[in-house]
Amino acid sequence: MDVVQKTATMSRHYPVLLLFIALTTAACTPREFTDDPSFPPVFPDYIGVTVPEGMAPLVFQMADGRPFRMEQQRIGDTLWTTVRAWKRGDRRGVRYAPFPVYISSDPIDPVIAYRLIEPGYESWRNMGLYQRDLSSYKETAIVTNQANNLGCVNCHTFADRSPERMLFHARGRGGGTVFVDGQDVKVLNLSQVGPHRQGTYPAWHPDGRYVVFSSNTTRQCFTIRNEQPIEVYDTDSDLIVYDTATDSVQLLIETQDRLETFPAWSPDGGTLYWCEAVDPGHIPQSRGQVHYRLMAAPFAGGTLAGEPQEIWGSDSLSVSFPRVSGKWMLLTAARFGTFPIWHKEADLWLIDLETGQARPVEELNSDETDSYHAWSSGGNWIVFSSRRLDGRYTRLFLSHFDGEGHFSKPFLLPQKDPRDNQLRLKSYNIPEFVTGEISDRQERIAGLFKQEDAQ
Amino acid sequence: MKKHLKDWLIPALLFLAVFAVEMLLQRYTFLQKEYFGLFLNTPDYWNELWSGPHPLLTLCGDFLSQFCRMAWGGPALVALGVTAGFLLVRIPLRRYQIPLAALALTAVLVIALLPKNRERERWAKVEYASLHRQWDKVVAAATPEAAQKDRVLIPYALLAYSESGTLPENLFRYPVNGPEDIDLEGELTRHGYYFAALNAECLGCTNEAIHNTFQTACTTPHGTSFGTLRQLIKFNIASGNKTMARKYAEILAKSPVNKGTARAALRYIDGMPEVSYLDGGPSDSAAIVTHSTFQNLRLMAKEGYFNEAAADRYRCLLLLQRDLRNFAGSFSPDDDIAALPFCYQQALCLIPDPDIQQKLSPSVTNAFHSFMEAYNQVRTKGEDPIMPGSFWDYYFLYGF
Repeated sequence: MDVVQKTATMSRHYPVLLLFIALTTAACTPREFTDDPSFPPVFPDYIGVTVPEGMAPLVFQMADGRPFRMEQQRIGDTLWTTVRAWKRGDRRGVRYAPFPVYISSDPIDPVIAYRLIEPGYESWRNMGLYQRDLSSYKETAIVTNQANNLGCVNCHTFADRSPERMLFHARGRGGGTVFVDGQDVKVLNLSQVGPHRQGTYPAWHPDGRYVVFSSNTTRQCFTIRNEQPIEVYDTDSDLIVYDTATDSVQLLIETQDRLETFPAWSPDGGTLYWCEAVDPGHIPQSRGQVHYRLMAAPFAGGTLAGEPQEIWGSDSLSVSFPRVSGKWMLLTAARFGTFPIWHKEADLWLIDLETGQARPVEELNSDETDSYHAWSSGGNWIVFSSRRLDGRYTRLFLSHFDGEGHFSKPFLLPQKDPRDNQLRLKSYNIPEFVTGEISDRQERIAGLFKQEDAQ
Repeated sequence: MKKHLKDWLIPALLFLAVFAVEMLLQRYTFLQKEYFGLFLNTPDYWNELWSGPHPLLTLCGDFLSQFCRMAWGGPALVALGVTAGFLLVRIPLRRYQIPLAALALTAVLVIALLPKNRERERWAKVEYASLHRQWDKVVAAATPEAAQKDRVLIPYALLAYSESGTLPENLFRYPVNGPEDIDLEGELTRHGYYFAALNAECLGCTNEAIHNTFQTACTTPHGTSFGTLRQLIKFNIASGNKTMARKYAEILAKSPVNKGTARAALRYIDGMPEVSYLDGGPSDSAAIVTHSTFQNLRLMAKEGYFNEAAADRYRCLLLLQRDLRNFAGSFSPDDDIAALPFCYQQALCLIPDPDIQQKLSPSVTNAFHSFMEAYNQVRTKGEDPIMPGSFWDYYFLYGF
């Protein structure tokens, strides 16, 4: 036996919480328990998941709200949790079979950055870019839209997951693309330079010099009576490249009859991937005919260095958000369109770029939308957004990748109080791994917009 | 003893008088204040409160706003506040108790009677009554005379008549200029979204009702509110989405005053049957709504979900557009034309179709001859009405 640790992880970090649980439950805990060979019905479902070493404790509750007590014992790389639950007022409780949580020593980036926003329609009130420390429950704002007069802040991305170098768009008065580079913070209106195109979805080149943006004219429509209430679509989109060394913008791909979007890089930066669809015209009426395919082209010196090639596509699927780690690409596929978050059939697919084999990742997917995803630095972990809890509010799930094409059972990003997952009226948007805490940005970014206002 | 009695009697009378004034003059303003307010014991609420400006003041306002849910709540809070202020000021000015109380009451009265506050109260009454489907109160507040001064009342009045089944009879009593008067199209404000949600609900477009409730929520300080949460519960129940209805009810249960409502909703949701259409995937052909009620009604007619009230609204919109051809086409040959509302018959009277003319009520054809005689004498558009409230006045005299 390696390490034996009774009621360990929680008590180490949260003695007060444990004391509270103990005090409130001890008074009315039954003394007799009957054994149930099944695992306990807990929310979130943390049974049999694989978590990184040092992860914040997985706090759960009984799915039906019953009071419970638990004991934890770590044996090797497995944390066994025994749950005893009872109904209020009953003298006998149930002792469930201990369930395992596997602990992996594969490293994970310590921070996840995401946007919190109402899963909205046209408008919003409060939104912001936030970071979450994975070793605790600490969530802090990177920047909120208080900084830009309740405008929109979106599409954040980091240069090689670095907390020192990031960009995001700030819409509204004095808005533009905000570039953060160490202590330097600047806002650049991409639509006022070069080919006069605004930037939408960004992809920062691994060497840090270039950022490729798709430049989209995005619209949305609403259905009268159908489960899918919104369809977001592009009437036009091309790719542009921004050179951080010269502050210049060039058109990278511009077509009249095609829509190009969602740029992404191979790890070495030698290949640019994107999604491309034939524009059928008359969208949204023809939205069912919009099927984005995965494209790739060599990239060198700030421009494409070869002919674009179709990598993968289907007449019955539309792909988005290609993300590469080593030879593996993860992407989202829906039946049609460019905005899978409103498509409950949207699933994650894995492509082996060496063999071209693709498969829906059944071990990750659910009946609800499974969409935006990111690889951790070493490619051992992914974070992805899913609407599986309620069909509307996006939550973050993590999963371990074994490097052989298999993912572990995904687990919900743990919260100090598991009910927060249900009570929060915000969606988690565009999760990205970051290699450290992003500090001290809020005030400097707010100052940027104050200067704009003054001008 | 007498002095002691006076010490208590004056504040008590002041409390009652202020309460009565506020109940009479500001009641709906407080009820709507609660609709747009929020206090929840959730981590999100507390985080946003402390990260926003003036957290303590905001907290006080938010906490108290929930008591305005009861009709007496807002007036009682104001009365309490005024009485407490009076008691404080009275300490150094004991000899002037009665003048002080009179002054306080007068101030309350003057504030409540300010034109701006009267207008706000009327608005709040119309919005509140519409929300609770108290259509008689809506039409009592949004009269044709009131609508002359405030045209934004027209859509509420027409919605009320539509829901009461008497839209055709009342449409042309209002100073309507065209189809835009039947909704608040292009009004991208709290009032516009609020009305659009009610309008969509009445038309049976639950997706649109949810959409516009979200939009309304975005205009509130916290991005959601008691009222919008209650509406989201209602609309999700209507669309059979138990999961979302339960989620919003569980969140609303974090408000002390709304806890009872939320728990009742949760009990109802638990007993709801599952609705099968929610299991379907996305549709690539589902009808798409616009900001125009007219377009939406056309789409609904095309999609085949149309109730009697929606059909009436569609026909009234055609009349407002002076589209007599499509208006006539909206009836089936079996319809008893003589039994149709007068304004419909007035419109059909203008269609040169012998079959239709034969079926019209004789009183309508006679009235039309009288109207045309008067019209031929006047001939100038924009003159005083010949037959007030008639389609003919609208068609021949106004709005071109």
